[in-house]
Amino acid sequence: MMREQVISTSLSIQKAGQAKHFQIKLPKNTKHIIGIELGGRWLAPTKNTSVIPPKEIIKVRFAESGLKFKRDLLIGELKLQSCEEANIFYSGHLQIDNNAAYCDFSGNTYWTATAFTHQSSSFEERVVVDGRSTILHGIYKDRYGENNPAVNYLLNVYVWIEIIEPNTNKR
Amino acid sequence: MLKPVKKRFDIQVTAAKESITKSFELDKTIKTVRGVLVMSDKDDLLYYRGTQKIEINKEEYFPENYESKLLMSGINVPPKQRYYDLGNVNPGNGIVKLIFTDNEDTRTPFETYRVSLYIDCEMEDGL
Repeated sequence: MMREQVISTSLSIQKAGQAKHFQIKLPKNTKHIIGIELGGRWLAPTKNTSVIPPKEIIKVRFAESGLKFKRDLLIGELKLQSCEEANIFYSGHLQIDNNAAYCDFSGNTYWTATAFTHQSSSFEERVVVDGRSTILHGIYKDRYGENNPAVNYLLNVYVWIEIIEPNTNKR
Repeated sequence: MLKPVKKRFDIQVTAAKESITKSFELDKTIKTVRGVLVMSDKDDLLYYRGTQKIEINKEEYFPENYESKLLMSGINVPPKQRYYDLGNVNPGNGIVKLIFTDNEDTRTPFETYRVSLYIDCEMEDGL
């Protein structure tokens, strides 16, 4: 019987422009890797840094800004490779949406559409990779630090896999 | 005949970085679990700070540290598509275990908030 499962891996990024190599261990009964999701959390400053969290909410009235499209904020880039396959199979960005309120005329001075009010359903990014390898190699490169010398955040990588489960009468 | 039914279970997060474990029991008449959704009375806190593990019938469907925002749906999503589709899961003993953890995030200072776990089920219609 096939079943989906997700493996969560957290990486702490504390230096501007930091590149981090990491590995994700897959269970032996993995049949396929079927999807990747990214997430993150902004952490409090460490002793030596004073982290300014990125602004996600654009509190500017349409009258002042017109319909200006704001550039999304790039936090970092992630690449993943399976040990059994040549080349990378996934390349993605961790970024912050700065345009949740774009063209949303319900917004006003007191209320603005934000990621947590207007996000659509989350779906993993589909990949089709054989699960023969028990290790995935990953490299993450921080890009937020290029313009902000102090960074401290947590990156979460979710790897969706399909596993073969022995038939039991449990379910 | 099976008829769709939604169940809601609440927990209250009262301290920052708190981890709460709670088990909920589904009715015996529930035959399948189709989807899950998490929401809160303070969306921003759940979105930025929440992570959870969800088990149904002792089987893990979302691991520890799985961010709540990945199981939330905004008002832009049509009501019929708001639940995370699990397929048709047999509820077995009917126990749904939620391990919710509040994590630090500087974008939202902590306040007490409620976390609601909604479960989309199908129950046996006695008629």
